[in-house]
Amino acid sequence: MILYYNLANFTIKMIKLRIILWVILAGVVGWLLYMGVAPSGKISYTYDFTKPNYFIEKLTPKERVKPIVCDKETEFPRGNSVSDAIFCSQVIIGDPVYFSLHTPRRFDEAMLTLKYRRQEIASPAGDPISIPLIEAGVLVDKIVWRYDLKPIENKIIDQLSLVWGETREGDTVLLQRDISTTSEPIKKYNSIQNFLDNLLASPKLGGPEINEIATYNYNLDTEYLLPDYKPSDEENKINYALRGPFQFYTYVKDEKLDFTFNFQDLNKNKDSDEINLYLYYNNQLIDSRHFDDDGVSENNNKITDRGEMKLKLANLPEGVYKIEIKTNDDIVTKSIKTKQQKLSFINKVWIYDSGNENIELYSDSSAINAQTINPANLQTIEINDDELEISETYKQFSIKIKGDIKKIKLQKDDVILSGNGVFSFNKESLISPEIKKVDVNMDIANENINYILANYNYPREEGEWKTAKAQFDLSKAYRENGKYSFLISVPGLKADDEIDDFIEISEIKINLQGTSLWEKLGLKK
Amino acid sequence: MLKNINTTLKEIFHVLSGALVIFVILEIIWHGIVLAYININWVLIFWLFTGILILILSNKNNGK
Repeated sequence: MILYYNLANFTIKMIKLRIILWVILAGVVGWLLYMGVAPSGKISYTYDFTKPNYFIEKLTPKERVKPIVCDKETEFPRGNSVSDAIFCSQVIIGDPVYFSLHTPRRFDEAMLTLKYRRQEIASPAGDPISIPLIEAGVLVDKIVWRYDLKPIENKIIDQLSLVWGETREGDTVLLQRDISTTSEPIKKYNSIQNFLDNLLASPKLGGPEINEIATYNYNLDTEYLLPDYKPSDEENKINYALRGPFQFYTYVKDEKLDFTFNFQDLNKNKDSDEINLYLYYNNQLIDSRHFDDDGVSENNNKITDRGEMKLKLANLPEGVYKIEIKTNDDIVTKSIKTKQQKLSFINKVWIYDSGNENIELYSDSSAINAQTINPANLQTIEINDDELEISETYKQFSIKIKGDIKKIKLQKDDVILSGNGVFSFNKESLISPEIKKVDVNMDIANENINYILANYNYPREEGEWKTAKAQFDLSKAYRENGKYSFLISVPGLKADDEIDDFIEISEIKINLQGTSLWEKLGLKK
Repeated sequence: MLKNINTTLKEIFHVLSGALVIFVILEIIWHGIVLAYININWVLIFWLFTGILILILSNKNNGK
Protein backbone atom coordinates (compact mmCIF):
# COMPACT_ATOMS: atom_id res chain seq x y z
CA MET A 1 0.00 0.00 0.00
CA ILE A 2 2.82 2.37 1.03
CA LEU A 3 4.79 1.35 -2.06
CA TYR A 4 1.77 2.06 -4.23
CA TYR A 5 1.30 5.44 -2.51
CA ASN A 6 4.98 6.38 -3.04
CA LEU A 7 4.82 5.30 -6.67
CA ALA A 8 1.69 7.34 -7.28
CA ASN A 9 3.23 10.34 -5.50
CA PHE A 10 6.40 10.08 -7.60
CA THR A 11 4.36 9.77 -10.81
CA ILE A 12 2.42 12.93 -9.92
CA LYS A 13 5.73 14.71 -9.22
CA MET A 14 7.10 13.56 -12.58
CA ILE A 15 3.97 14.78 -14.37
CA LYS A 16 4.33 18.12 -12.61
CA LEU A 17 8.01 18.27 -13.58
CA ARG A 18 7.14 17.34 -17.17
CA ILE A 19 4.50 20.08 -17.33
CA ILE A 20 6.90 22.64 -15.81
CA LEU A 21 9.72 21.75 -18.20
CA TRP A 22 7.52 21.89 -21.31
CA VAL A 23 5.92 25.13 -20.12
CA ILE A 24 9.43 26.59 -19.70
CA LEU A 25 10.32 25.47 -23.23
CA ALA A 26 7.07 26.92 -24.58
CA GLY A 27 7.89 30.15 -22.71
CA VAL A 28 11.38 30.29 -24.23
CA VAL A 29 10.03 29.66 -27.74
CA GLY A 30 7.32 32.27 -27.17
CA TRP A 31 9.88 34.78 -25.94
CA LEU A 32 12.13 34.10 -28.99
CA LEU A 33 9.18 34.64 -31.32
CA TYR A 34 8.21 37.80 -29.42
CA MET A 35 11.75 39.20 -29.78
CA GLY A 36 11.78 38.25 -33.47
CA VAL A 37 8.37 39.67 -34.34
CA ALA A 38 8.72 42.69 -32.01
CA PRO A 39 4.89 43.03 -31.98
CA SER A 40 5.00 46.58 -30.63
CA GLY A 41 7.14 47.59 -33.61
CA LYS A 42 9.87 48.81 -31.26
CA ILE A 43 13.10 47.15 -30.22
CA SER A 44 16.47 48.33 -28.97
CA TYR A 45 19.96 46.85 -29.39
CA THR A 46 23.10 47.97 -27.56
CA TYR A 47 26.73 47.11 -28.24
CA ASP A 48 29.05 48.16 -25.42
CA PHE A 49 32.11 46.23 -26.68
CA THR A 50 32.22 43.98 -23.57
CA LYS A 51 31.24 40.90 -25.62
CA PRO A 52 30.35 40.18 -29.25
CA ASN A 53 26.86 41.28 -30.15
CA TYR A 54 24.71 39.29 -32.56
CA PHE A 55 22.71 42.33 -33.67
CA ILE A 56 25.37 45.04 -33.89
CA GLU A 57 28.43 43.50 -35.48
CA LYS A 58 32.03 44.56 -34.89
CA LEU A 59 33.60 47.62 -36.51
CA THR A 60 35.45 46.98 -39.77
CA PRO A 61 37.88 47.12 -41.56
CA LYS A 62 40.39 46.06 -38.93
CA GLU A 63 43.10 48.31 -40.45
CA ARG A 64 41.11 51.35 -39.35
CA VAL A 65 40.34 50.27 -35.80
CA LYS A 66 42.42 49.21 -32.83
CA PRO A 67 41.59 46.09 -30.77
CA ILE A 68 38.87 46.47 -28.15
CA VAL A 69 40.30 47.53 -24.79
CA CYS A 70 38.60 46.76 -21.48
CA ASP A 71 39.27 48.22 -18.07
CA LYS A 72 37.51 49.06 -14.84
CA GLU A 73 35.38 52.13 -15.27
CA THR A 74 37.10 53.76 -12.26
CA GLU A 75 40.32 53.72 -14.32
CA PHE A 76 38.56 55.17 -17.29
CA PRO A 77 35.65 57.35 -16.19
CA ARG A 78 32.96 57.72 -18.82
CA GLY A 79 31.08 60.46 -17.08
CA ASN A 80 30.63 62.14 -13.74
CA SER A 81 29.55 58.95 -12.00
CA VAL A 82 31.91 56.01 -12.02
CA SER A 83 31.63 52.42 -10.86
CA ASP A 84 33.80 49.31 -10.68
CA ALA A 85 32.02 47.82 -13.70
CA ILE A 86 34.13 46.65 -16.62
CA PHE A 87 34.19 49.21 -19.35
CA CYS A 88 35.25 48.46 -22.93
CA SER A 89 35.83 50.67 -25.91
CA GLN A 90 37.28 50.62 -29.39
CA VAL A 91 39.43 53.24 -31.07
CA ILE A 92 38.83 54.32 -34.68
CA ILE A 93 41.99 55.53 -36.40
CA GLY A 94 40.86 55.70 -40.02
CA ASP A 95 37.91 56.93 -42.00
CA PRO A 96 35.39 55.42 -42.58
CA VAL A 97 34.49 52.38 -40.51
CA TYR A 98 31.48 50.14 -41.00
CA PHE A 99 29.24 47.92 -38.93
CA SER A 100 26.21 45.82 -39.74
CA LEU A 101 22.93 45.79 -37.89
CA HIS A 102 21.22 42.41 -37.95
CA THR A 103 17.47 42.70 -37.47
CA PRO A 104 14.91 39.90 -37.38
CA ARG A 105 12.61 41.91 -39.66
CA ARG A 106 12.33 45.24 -41.47
CA PHE A 107 11.92 48.47 -39.52
CA ASP A 108 11.05 51.98 -40.70
CA GLU A 109 13.23 54.14 -38.48
CA ALA A 110 16.43 53.83 -36.50
CA MET A 111 17.72 56.13 -33.80
CA LEU A 112 21.46 55.64 -33.45
CA THR A 113 23.06 56.75 -30.20
CA LEU A 114 26.83 56.95 -30.19
CA LYS A 115 28.91 57.38 -27.03
CA TYR A 116 32.38 58.55 -27.94
CA ARG A 117 35.32 60.72 -27.14
CA ARG A 118 37.91 62.24 -29.44
CA GLN A 119 41.62 62.87 -29.42
CA GLU A 120 43.01 65.62 -31.60
CA ILE A 121 46.66 66.48 -31.47
CA ALA A 122 49.03 68.55 -33.53
CA SER A 123 50.87 67.01 -36.48
CA PRO A 124 54.66 66.48 -36.32
CA ALA A 125 54.95 69.67 -38.37
CA GLY A 126 53.09 71.50 -35.64
CA ASP A 127 49.95 72.23 -37.62
CA PRO A 128 46.83 72.15 -35.51
CA ILE A 129 44.94 69.01 -36.43
CA SER A 130 41.25 69.04 -36.22
CA ILE A 131 38.58 66.46 -36.82
CA PRO A 132 35.72 68.86 -37.46
CA LEU A 133 33.16 66.35 -38.52
CA ILE A 134 31.78 63.04 -37.34
CA GLU A 135 28.88 61.58 -39.25
CA ALA A 136 26.99 58.30 -39.27
CA GLY A 137 25.17 56.81 -42.19
CA VAL A 138 23.10 53.90 -43.40
CA LEU A 139 23.56 52.30 -46.82
CA VAL A 140 20.71 53.22 -49.14
CA ASP A 141 22.12 52.16 -52.49
CA LYS A 142 24.53 49.28 -52.91
CA ILE A 143 25.22 49.86 -56.62
CA VAL A 144 26.80 53.27 -56.08
CA TRP A 145 27.54 52.69 -52.36
CA ARG A 146 25.51 55.69 -51.29
CA TYR A 147 25.03 56.24 -47.57
CA ASP A 148 22.40 58.49 -46.03
CA LEU A 149 24.67 60.52 -43.74
CA LYS A 150 23.50 62.25 -40.58
CA PRO A 151 25.48 64.47 -38.23
CA ILE A 152 27.01 63.19 -35.03
CA GLU A 153 29.22 66.18 -34.34
CA ASN A 154 30.09 69.24 -36.40
CA LYS A 155 32.76 71.20 -34.59
CA ILE A 156 32.58 74.09 -37.05
CA ILE A 157 28.95 74.71 -36.11
CA ASP A 158 29.66 74.05 -32.42
CA GLN A 159 32.41 76.68 -32.34
CA LEU A 160 30.66 79.22 -34.56
CA SER A 161 27.52 79.05 -32.44
CA LEU A 162 29.59 80.27 -29.49
CA VAL A 163 30.99 83.22 -31.48
CA TRP A 164 28.07 84.15 -33.72
CA GLY A 165 25.21 83.07 -31.48
CA GLU A 166 22.34 80.94 -32.67
CA THR A 167 18.66 81.04 -33.41
CA ARG A 168 17.16 77.62 -32.81
CA GLU A 169 13.73 76.26 -33.71
CA GLY A 170 13.49 72.55 -32.88
CA ASP A 171 16.30 70.72 -34.65
CA THR A 172 16.95 73.63 -37.03
CA VAL A 173 19.59 76.17 -36.14
CA LEU A 174 20.51 79.45 -37.85
CA LEU A 175 23.91 81.01 -37.18
CA GLN A 176 24.43 84.62 -38.27
CA ARG A 177 27.69 86.48 -38.37
CA ASP A 178 27.58 89.40 -35.94
CA ILE A 179 27.18 92.53 -38.08
CA SER A 180 27.37 95.06 -35.24
CA THR A 181 30.30 97.38 -34.84
CA THR A 182 29.60 97.82 -31.14
CA SER A 183 29.91 95.28 -28.34
CA GLU A 184 26.15 94.69 -28.51
CA PRO A 185 25.54 91.78 -30.93
CA ILE A 186 23.03 92.37 -33.70
CA LYS A 187 21.23 89.59 -35.52
CA LYS A 188 19.91 90.56 -38.93
CA TYR A 189 17.10 88.03 -38.85
CA ASN A 190 15.22 87.45 -35.63
CA SER A 191 13.85 84.02 -36.60
CA ILE A 192 14.54 81.21 -39.04
CA GLN A 193 11.23 81.92 -40.79
CA ASN A 194 12.23 85.56 -41.15
CA PHE A 195 15.52 84.44 -42.73
CA LEU A 196 13.75 82.03 -45.12
CA ASP A 197 11.17 84.66 -46.08
CA ASN A 198 13.96 87.09 -46.91
CA LEU A 199 15.74 84.49 -49.05
CA LEU A 200 13.28 85.25 -51.81
CA ALA A 201 13.95 88.98 -51.54
CA SER A 202 16.91 90.42 -53.40
CA PRO A 203 19.99 91.41 -51.37
CA LYS A 204 19.12 95.05 -52.07
CA LEU A 205 15.84 94.56 -50.24
CA GLY A 206 17.53 92.96 -47.25
CA GLY A 207 17.71 89.35 -48.40
CA PRO A 208 20.89 87.31 -47.92
CA GLU A 209 22.99 86.47 -50.95
CA ILE A 210 23.11 82.78 -51.84
CA ASN A 211 26.91 82.69 -51.82
CA GLU A 212 27.05 83.91 -48.23
CA ILE A 213 24.90 81.01 -47.02
CA ALA A 214 26.16 77.57 -46.09
CA THR A 215 23.95 74.68 -45.04
CA TYR A 216 24.48 71.45 -43.18
CA ASN A 217 22.04 68.54 -43.21
CA TYR A 218 19.43 71.01 -44.47
CA ASN A 219 17.70 70.99 -47.83
CA LEU A 220 17.33 74.66 -48.75
CA ASP A 221 15.19 75.02 -51.84
CA THR A 222 16.38 77.97 -53.87
CA GLU A 223 15.77 78.74 -57.49
CA TYR A 224 19.00 78.71 -59.48
CA LEU A 225 18.55 80.62 -62.74
CA LEU A 226 21.10 81.85 -65.24
CA PRO A 227 19.75 85.14 -66.64
CA ASP A 228 22.38 85.32 -69.41
CA TYR A 229 21.86 81.73 -70.62
CA LYS A 230 20.87 81.37 -74.27
CA PRO A 231 19.93 78.03 -75.85
CA SER A 232 21.94 76.71 -78.78
CA ASP A 233 21.46 74.11 -81.51
CA GLU A 234 25.12 73.23 -81.49
CA GLU A 235 25.86 69.66 -80.44
CA ASN A 236 28.41 69.16 -77.69
CA LYS A 237 30.18 65.85 -77.32
CA ILE A 238 32.23 64.49 -74.46
CA ASN A 239 34.62 62.06 -76.03
CA TYR A 240 36.30 60.96 -72.83
CA ALA A 241 35.00 57.59 -71.71
CA LEU A 242 33.66 57.61 -68.16
CA ARG A 243 33.70 54.51 -66.03
CA GLY A 244 31.04 53.51 -63.55
CA PRO A 245 28.21 55.58 -62.12
CA PHE A 246 28.10 59.36 -62.22
CA GLN A 247 25.76 62.30 -61.76
CA PHE A 248 25.77 65.67 -63.41
CA TYR A 249 23.89 68.96 -63.54
CA THR A 250 22.62 70.46 -66.72
CA TYR A 251 20.54 73.51 -67.56
CA VAL A 252 17.46 73.90 -69.73
CA LYS A 253 15.89 77.13 -70.98
CA ASP A 254 13.50 77.32 -73.95
CA GLU A 255 15.01 74.18 -75.46
CA LYS A 256 14.74 70.42 -75.47
CA LEU A 257 16.62 68.34 -72.98
CA ASP A 258 18.65 66.26 -75.39
CA PHE A 259 21.17 63.63 -74.33
CA THR A 260 22.54 60.53 -76.02
CA PHE A 261 24.74 58.17 -74.04
CA ASN A 262 26.79 55.42 -75.63
CA PHE A 263 27.61 52.52 -73.30
CA GLN A 264 30.08 49.65 -73.30
CA ASP A 265 30.37 46.69 -70.95
CA LEU A 266 33.88 45.73 -69.84
CA ASN A 267 32.73 42.31 -68.55
CA LYS A 268 35.32 42.38 -65.78
CA ASN A 269 32.97 41.10 -63.10
CA LYS A 270 30.11 38.62 -62.87
CA ASP A 271 27.56 41.06 -61.44
CA SER A 272 24.43 42.03 -63.27
CA ASP A 273 25.29 45.08 -65.38
CA GLU A 274 22.03 47.01 -65.50
CA ILE A 275 22.12 50.64 -66.53
CA ASN A 276 19.60 53.10 -65.11
CA LEU A 277 19.22 56.75 -65.95
CA TYR A 278 17.30 59.05 -63.61
CA LEU A 279 16.32 62.64 -64.33
CA TYR A 280 15.63 64.92 -61.36
CA TYR A 281 14.18 68.44 -61.20
CA ASN A 282 14.07 70.20 -57.82
CA ASN A 283 15.13 66.91 -56.20
CA GLN A 284 12.08 65.14 -57.64
CA LEU A 285 12.46 62.20 -60.01
CA ILE A 286 10.68 63.18 -63.24
CA ASP A 287 11.86 60.60 -65.78
CA SER A 288 14.00 57.47 -66.12
CA ARG A 289 15.46 55.01 -68.64
CA HIS A 290 16.61 51.44 -68.14
CA PHE A 291 18.90 48.95 -69.90
CA ASP A 292 18.79 45.32 -68.76
CA ASP A 293 21.92 43.29 -68.23
CA ASP A 294 23.48 42.10 -71.48
CA GLY A 295 23.25 38.49 -70.35
CA VAL A 296 27.01 37.96 -70.29
CA SER A 297 27.59 36.68 -66.77
CA GLU A 298 31.24 35.78 -67.31
CA ASN A 299 34.20 37.95 -66.41
CA ASN A 300 35.83 37.30 -69.80
CA ASN A 301 37.20 40.88 -70.20
CA LYS A 302 35.65 41.09 -73.66
CA ILE A 303 34.25 44.55 -74.25
CA THR A 304 30.71 44.47 -75.59
CA ASP A 305 28.71 47.35 -77.01
CA ARG A 306 25.60 48.16 -75.01
CA GLY A 307 24.17 50.67 -77.45
CA GLU A 308 22.74 54.16 -77.13
CA MET A 309 20.43 55.49 -74.47
CA LYS A 310 18.54 58.59 -75.51
CA LEU A 311 16.85 61.14 -73.30
CA LYS A 312 14.90 63.75 -75.21
CA LEU A 313 12.27 65.82 -73.44
CA ALA A 314 10.52 68.97 -74.59
CA ASN A 315 8.58 71.71 -72.79
CA LEU A 316 10.57 71.54 -69.60
CA PRO A 317 10.54 74.55 -67.28
CA GLU A 318 13.71 76.60 -67.06
CA GLY A 319 16.15 75.48 -64.42
CA VAL A 320 18.80 73.04 -63.30
CA TYR A 321 18.27 69.32 -63.93
CA LYS A 322 20.22 66.49 -62.39
CA ILE A 323 20.90 63.33 -64.38
CA GLU A 324 22.15 60.22 -62.66
CA ILE A 325 23.66 57.25 -64.47
CA LYS A 326 23.36 54.43 -61.99
CA THR A 327 25.36 51.37 -62.86
CA ASN A 328 28.45 49.50 -61.69
CA ASP A 329 32.13 49.87 -62.58
CA ASP A 330 31.80 47.34 -65.41
CA ILE A 331 29.97 49.89 -67.52
CA VAL A 332 31.79 52.60 -69.45
CA THR A 333 29.98 55.60 -70.92
CA LYS A 334 31.91 55.83 -74.17
CA SER A 335 30.50 59.21 -75.17
CA ILE A 336 27.88 61.77 -74.21
CA LYS A 337 26.23 63.85 -76.92
CA THR A 338 24.06 66.78 -75.91
CA LYS A 339 22.65 70.08 -77.05
CA GLN A 340 22.80 71.44 -73.52
CA GLN A 341 25.57 73.92 -72.87
CA LYS A 342 25.99 73.24 -69.18
CA LEU A 343 27.25 69.90 -67.95
CA SER A 344 28.98 69.56 -64.59
CA PHE A 345 29.75 66.25 -62.94
CA ILE A 346 28.81 66.13 -59.28
CA ASN A 347 31.56 65.26 -56.78
CA LYS A 348 33.23 62.52 -58.82
CA VAL A 349 34.30 61.58 -62.31
CA TRP A 350 36.31 58.53 -63.40
CA ILE A 351 37.97 59.06 -66.78
CA TYR A 352 38.44 55.59 -68.23
CA ASP A 353 41.68 54.31 -69.76
CA SER A 354 41.43 55.13 -73.48
CA GLY A 355 44.98 56.34 -74.08
CA ASN A 356 44.04 60.03 -73.80
CA GLU A 357 46.70 62.47 -72.66
CA ASN A 358 46.77 66.06 -71.44
CA ILE A 359 43.14 66.15 -70.35
CA GLU A 360 41.84 69.44 -68.99
CA LEU A 361 39.06 69.74 -66.47
CA TYR A 362 37.62 72.55 -64.38
CA SER A 363 36.29 72.34 -60.85
CA ASP A 364 35.00 74.56 -58.08
CA SER A 365 36.00 72.02 -55.37
CA SER A 366 38.08 73.44 -52.57
CA ALA A 367 39.58 70.00 -51.99
CA ILE A 368 40.44 67.73 -54.89
CA ASN A 369 41.17 64.02 -54.52
CA ALA A 370 42.79 61.86 -57.17
CA GLN A 371 43.29 58.12 -57.40
CA THR A 372 44.21 55.52 -59.98
CA ILE A 373 44.08 51.75 -60.04
CA ASN A 374 46.33 51.57 -63.10
CA PRO A 375 50.12 51.37 -62.41
CA ALA A 376 50.84 52.71 -65.91
CA ASN A 377 48.88 55.87 -65.15
CA LEU A 378 50.71 57.10 -62.06
CA GLN A 379 51.32 60.77 -62.73
CA THR A 380 51.54 64.30 -61.43
CA ILE A 381 48.39 66.34 -61.83
CA GLU A 382 48.58 70.11 -62.27
CA ILE A 383 45.88 72.00 -60.38
CA ASN A 384 46.24 75.74 -61.02
CA ASP A 385 49.83 76.38 -59.98
CA ASP A 386 50.00 73.42 -57.61
CA GLU A 387 50.88 69.82 -58.25
CA LEU A 388 49.32 66.64 -56.92
CA GLU A 389 51.39 63.52 -57.38
CA ILE A 390 49.70 60.14 -57.65
CA SER A 391 52.62 57.95 -56.66
CA GLU A 392 50.74 54.78 -55.64
CA THR A 393 47.82 52.84 -57.00
CA TYR A 394 44.65 52.34 -54.95
CA LYS A 395 45.56 55.30 -52.73
CA GLN A 396 43.71 58.58 -52.70
CA PHE A 397 45.83 61.72 -52.83
CA SER A 398 44.31 65.05 -51.82
CA ILE A 399 45.06 68.72 -52.12
CA LYS A 400 43.29 71.84 -50.86
CA ILE A 401 43.25 74.70 -53.35
CA LYS A 402 42.05 78.26 -52.80
CA GLY A 403 40.14 80.19 -55.44
CA ASP A 404 36.83 79.81 -57.21
CA ILE A 405 37.49 77.76 -60.33
CA LYS A 406 40.50 75.44 -60.62
CA LYS A 407 42.04 74.21 -63.81
CA ILE A 408 43.05 70.55 -63.57
CA LYS A 409 45.45 69.07 -66.08
CA LEU A 410 45.86 65.28 -66.20
CA GLN A 411 48.88 63.82 -67.99
CA LYS A 412 46.99 60.58 -68.66
CA ASP A 413 43.50 59.24 -68.19
CA ASP A 414 42.24 56.39 -65.92
CA VAL A 415 42.08 58.69 -62.93
CA ILE A 416 39.26 58.97 -60.42
CA LEU A 417 38.80 62.64 -59.55
CA SER A 418 36.60 63.58 -56.62
CA GLY A 419 35.91 66.63 -54.53
CA ASN A 420 33.28 68.65 -52.72
CA GLY A 421 32.18 70.47 -55.87
CA VAL A 422 31.56 69.87 -59.54
CA PHE A 423 33.85 68.94 -62.47
CA SER A 424 33.54 69.89 -66.10
CA PHE A 425 35.52 69.36 -69.30
CA ASN A 426 35.30 73.02 -70.29
CA LYS A 427 35.06 76.17 -68.26
CA GLU A 428 31.91 77.46 -69.97
CA SER A 429 29.88 74.39 -69.10
CA LEU A 430 30.65 74.55 -65.39
CA ILE A 431 27.54 75.08 -63.33
CA SER A 432 27.36 74.88 -59.56
CA PRO A 433 23.80 75.25 -58.30
CA GLU A 434 24.36 73.75 -54.87
CA ILE A 435 24.59 75.85 -51.76
CA LYS A 436 27.90 75.48 -49.92
CA LYS A 437 28.03 72.79 -47.28
CA VAL A 438 29.60 73.13 -43.85
CA ASP A 439 32.00 70.26 -44.20
CA VAL A 440 35.62 69.42 -43.54
CA ASN A 441 36.76 71.55 -46.52
CA MET A 442 34.89 74.69 -45.62
CA ASP A 443 36.90 77.83 -44.95
CA ILE A 444 34.38 80.14 -43.29
CA ALA A 445 36.64 83.22 -43.32
CA ASN A 446 37.84 82.99 -46.92
CA GLU A 447 34.54 81.91 -48.40
CA ASN A 448 32.70 84.93 -46.89
CA ILE A 449 30.03 82.84 -45.24
CA ASN A 450 27.69 84.94 -43.10
CA TYR A 451 24.82 82.52 -42.51
CA ILE A 452 24.69 78.87 -41.64
CA LEU A 453 21.45 76.95 -41.66
CA ALA A 454 21.56 73.44 -40.28
CA ASN A 455 19.48 70.60 -38.98
CA TYR A 456 21.75 69.76 -36.12
CA ASN A 457 21.71 69.02 -32.40
CA TYR A 458 24.84 69.42 -30.32
CA PRO A 459 26.18 66.24 -28.68
CA ARG A 460 25.61 65.89 -24.95
CA GLU A 461 28.83 66.05 -22.96
CA GLU A 462 29.74 64.02 -19.86
CA GLY A 463 33.32 64.85 -19.03
CA GLU A 464 35.48 63.77 -21.94
CA TRP A 465 32.72 61.60 -23.34
CA LYS A 466 30.00 62.79 -25.65
CA THR A 467 26.68 61.27 -26.63
CA ALA A 468 25.10 62.08 -29.97
CA LYS A 469 22.00 60.83 -31.71
CA ALA A 470 21.18 60.42 -35.38
CA GLN A 471 17.87 59.35 -36.87
CA PHE A 472 17.64 57.30 -40.07
CA ASP A 473 14.84 56.41 -42.43
CA LEU A 474 15.22 52.65 -42.81
CA SER A 475 12.33 52.31 -45.25
CA LYS A 476 14.74 53.48 -47.97
CA ALA A 477 17.78 51.65 -46.58
CA TYR A 478 19.38 48.67 -48.29
CA ARG A 479 18.94 45.38 -46.40
CA GLU A 480 20.62 42.14 -47.40
CA ASN A 481 20.61 38.84 -45.49
CA GLY A 482 18.70 40.54 -42.69
CA LYS A 483 21.37 43.22 -42.26
CA TYR A 484 21.51 46.97 -42.61
CA SER A 485 24.94 48.42 -43.24
CA PHE A 486 26.02 51.43 -41.20
CA LEU A 487 29.06 53.66 -41.47
CA ILE A 488 30.85 56.03 -39.12
CA SER A 489 32.60 58.73 -41.11
CA VAL A 490 35.34 60.91 -39.67
CA PRO A 491 36.73 62.90 -42.62
CA GLY A 492 40.41 63.70 -42.18
CA LEU A 493 41.13 60.76 -39.88
CA LYS A 494 43.78 58.64 -41.58
CA ALA A 495 45.14 55.34 -40.33
CA ASP A 496 48.38 55.63 -42.28
CA ASP A 497 49.51 59.07 -41.15
CA GLU A 498 51.88 59.69 -38.27
CA ILE A 499 49.34 61.59 -36.22
CA ASP A 500 47.95 59.93 -33.13
CA ASP A 501 44.42 61.24 -33.51
CA PHE A 502 41.41 59.01 -32.98
CA ILE A 503 37.77 58.64 -32.10
CA GLU A 504 37.01 56.22 -29.30
CA ILE A 505 33.60 54.56 -29.22
CA SER A 506 32.29 53.09 -25.98
CA GLU A 507 28.70 52.34 -26.92
CA ILE A 508 26.53 51.97 -30.00
CA LYS A 509 22.83 51.84 -29.29
CA ILE A 510 20.13 51.53 -31.91
CA ASN A 511 16.43 52.01 -31.21
CA LEU A 512 14.32 50.64 -34.01
CA GLN A 513 10.77 51.49 -34.86
CA GLY A 514 8.50 49.93 -37.45
CA THR A 515 5.06 48.58 -38.15
CA SER A 516 3.47 46.93 -35.14
CA LEU A 517 1.86 43.51 -35.38
CA TRP A 518 -1.58 45.07 -34.90
CA GLU A 519 -0.95 47.51 -37.77
CA LYS A 520 0.29 44.64 -39.92
CA LEU A 521 -2.86 42.66 -39.21
CA GLY A 522 -4.96 45.72 -39.96
CA LEU A 523 -6.35 45.85 -36.45
CA LYS A 524 -5.06 49.37 -35.84
CA LYS A 525 -5.06 52.32 -38.19
CA MET B 1 16.74 6.47 -5.72
CA LEU B 2 18.81 5.93 -8.87
CA LYS B 3 15.63 5.00 -10.69
CA ASN B 4 14.00 8.29 -9.61
CA ILE B 5 17.02 10.28 -10.79
CA ASN B 6 17.00 8.34 -14.04
CA THR B 7 13.30 9.08 -14.58
CA THR B 8 13.86 12.77 -13.82
CA LEU B 9 16.80 12.88 -16.24
CA LYS B 10 14.64 11.23 -18.88
CA GLU B 11 12.09 14.05 -18.51
CA ILE B 12 14.87 16.63 -18.91
CA PHE B 13 16.29 14.69 -21.86
CA HIS B 14 12.90 14.65 -23.61
CA VAL B 15 12.41 18.39 -23.14
CA LEU B 16 15.97 19.09 -24.36
CA SER B 17 15.34 16.85 -27.40
CA GLY B 18 12.16 18.82 -28.08
CA ALA B 19 14.03 22.10 -27.58
CA LEU B 20 16.75 21.08 -30.04
CA VAL B 21 14.24 20.04 -32.69
CA ILE B 22 12.18 23.22 -32.23
CA PHE B 23 15.27 25.47 -32.24
CA VAL B 24 16.68 23.88 -35.40
CA ILE B 25 13.31 24.14 -37.18
CA LEU B 26 12.94 27.76 -36.05
CA GLU B 27 16.46 28.56 -37.30
CA ILE B 28 15.72 26.94 -40.69
CA ILE B 29 12.47 28.90 -41.03
CA TRP B 30 13.72 32.20 -39.58
CA HIS B 31 17.47 32.46 -39.54
CA GLY B 32 18.90 34.11 -36.46
CA ILE B 33 15.78 34.04 -34.30
CA VAL B 34 17.31 31.49 -31.89
CA LEU B 35 21.04 32.02 -32.38
CA ALA B 36 20.65 35.71 -31.55
CA TYR B 37 19.83 34.79 -27.96
CA ILE B 38 20.73 31.14 -27.35
CA ASN B 39 23.89 29.22 -28.14
CA ILE B 40 22.43 25.92 -29.37
CA ASN B 41 25.85 24.26 -28.79
CA TRP B 42 25.27 24.48 -25.04
CA VAL B 43 21.79 22.95 -25.39
CA LEU B 44 23.34 20.12 -27.45
CA ILE B 45 26.11 19.56 -24.87
CA PHE B 46 23.58 19.50 -22.01
CA TRP B 47 21.35 17.13 -24.03
CA LEU B 48 24.30 14.76 -24.65
CA PHE B 49 25.34 14.94 -21.00
CA THR B 50 21.87 13.98 -19.77
CA GLY B 51 21.68 11.23 -22.40
CA ILE B 52 24.99 9.71 -21.25
CA LEU B 53 23.93 9.97 -17.60
CA ILE B 54 20.68 8.17 -18.41
CA LEU B 55 22.62 5.34 -20.10
CA ILE B 56 25.03 5.01 -17.17
CA LEU B 57 22.24 5.01 -14.59
CA SER B 58 20.17 2.54 -16.66
CA ASN B 59 23.14 0.17 -16.78
CA LYS B 60 23.58 0.45 -13.02
CA ASN B 61 19.88 -0.19 -12.46
CA ASN B 62 19.96 -3.22 -14.74
CA GLY B 63 23.09 -4.49 -12.96
CA LYS B 64 21.20 -4.57 -9.69
